[in-house]
Amino acid sequence: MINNLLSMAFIVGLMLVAVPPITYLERKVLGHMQQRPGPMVVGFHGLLQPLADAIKLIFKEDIIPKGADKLLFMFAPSFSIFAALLAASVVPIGFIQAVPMKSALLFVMAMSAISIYALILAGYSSNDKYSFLAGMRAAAQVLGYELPMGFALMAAVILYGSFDFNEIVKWQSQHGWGILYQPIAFLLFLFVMAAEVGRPPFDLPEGESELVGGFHTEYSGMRFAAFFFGEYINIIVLSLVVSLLFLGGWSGPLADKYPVLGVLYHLGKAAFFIFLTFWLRATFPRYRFDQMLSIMWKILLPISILNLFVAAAEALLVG
Amino acid sequence: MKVYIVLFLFFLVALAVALLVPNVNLITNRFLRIDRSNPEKFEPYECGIPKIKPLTGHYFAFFYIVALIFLLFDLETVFLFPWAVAFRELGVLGIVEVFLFVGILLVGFVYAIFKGALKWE
Repeated sequence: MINNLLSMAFIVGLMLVAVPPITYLERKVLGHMQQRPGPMVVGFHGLLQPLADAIKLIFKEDIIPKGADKLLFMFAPSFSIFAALLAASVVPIGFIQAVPMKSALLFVMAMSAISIYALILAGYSSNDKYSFLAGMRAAAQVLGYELPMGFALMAAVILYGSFDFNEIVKWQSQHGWGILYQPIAFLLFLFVMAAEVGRPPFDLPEGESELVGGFHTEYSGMRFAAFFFGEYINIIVLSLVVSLLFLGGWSGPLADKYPVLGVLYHLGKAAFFIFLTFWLRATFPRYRFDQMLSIMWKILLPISILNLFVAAAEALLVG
Repeated sequence: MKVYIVLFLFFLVALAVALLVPNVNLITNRFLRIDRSNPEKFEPYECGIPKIKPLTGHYFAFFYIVALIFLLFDLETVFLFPWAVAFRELGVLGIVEVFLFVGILLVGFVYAIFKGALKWE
């Protein structure tokens, strides 16, 4: 019980503390990818930039636009953080497990799926047409990506025969990493992950070139920041999940003897996927709305369903 | 049982954090008297020009049929997840049955595509 509570404190703390440095790293990485230095003014190489942002956001004036649905307007950013933190609750980081749940993978999927409500509610309640359109886009986007994601994860579940992350990692430490067996599911999941967290090339609800700021046009101060907390926590959680599912999680050399090494392996693998989301942002332009839906429905969905049978055949062969 | 107690505690912690973080501005605004209100600030964003008409009326939800197909396939995933977990016990017969089940749904999917349900202009 004490272990669980300590793990809980660690996970919540990690999720909240990791977000400001990640925003800094994102700006720095994006900057260098575009041959400019990124933030340089505040502190050594802009290291204190997240702190400056936090101070600015905390002391901003709280504005709720005229005609907005006040209750939902205040509720939406809270819901963004809430759903993201709940998704983080069942994800083990090495030996640090807050809630060792049997159906953990299902729970993560459910929680990261309902986080889209934050965007829809924000768009609906702002009394602004740009926000409203962004909310509608978010609703349509969730219809697109949820199915390929479900089927991609199902292929992995068939292979491992469990929703429990501990079982999944144990299976991989015996048989080798999941990416060797299921490269298609891995690629599908990476693709869909970008849509799930609303990152480029699928950041349609944000769409700053056509929708001003998308669903957070009317938000200011920490309410505005709360959406980014939710988004980045979701990125961290899904990166941890993808490294658990396909890259062996915390298994690695000497990880059995020193559990701390396992935590570092797992965080390192997740860090790569977080970097990948920055990389995608620098590389790809945003898809148009109908292109996104066509890709999801006409390409990814059939591939992911056919991939189920590949997974079934593999599972029969491997045992 | 213990798992769910911890999950419930996590739920409470997440709720507390989620309610606190976005509403920090309420506290700072109140104690530091940050208040430079101006009627213009409370207008919804419209590129600096006055709003022509308020956001009322209807919005054409063109993905209505997509939502219906989504419901179909989402239920399919609900049915398939138990199969995925119990895959090894069910063996080859289970695969054949699921193949038939998915096949029937795919016929409906192909029909929907030919009907133009997944066409966007």
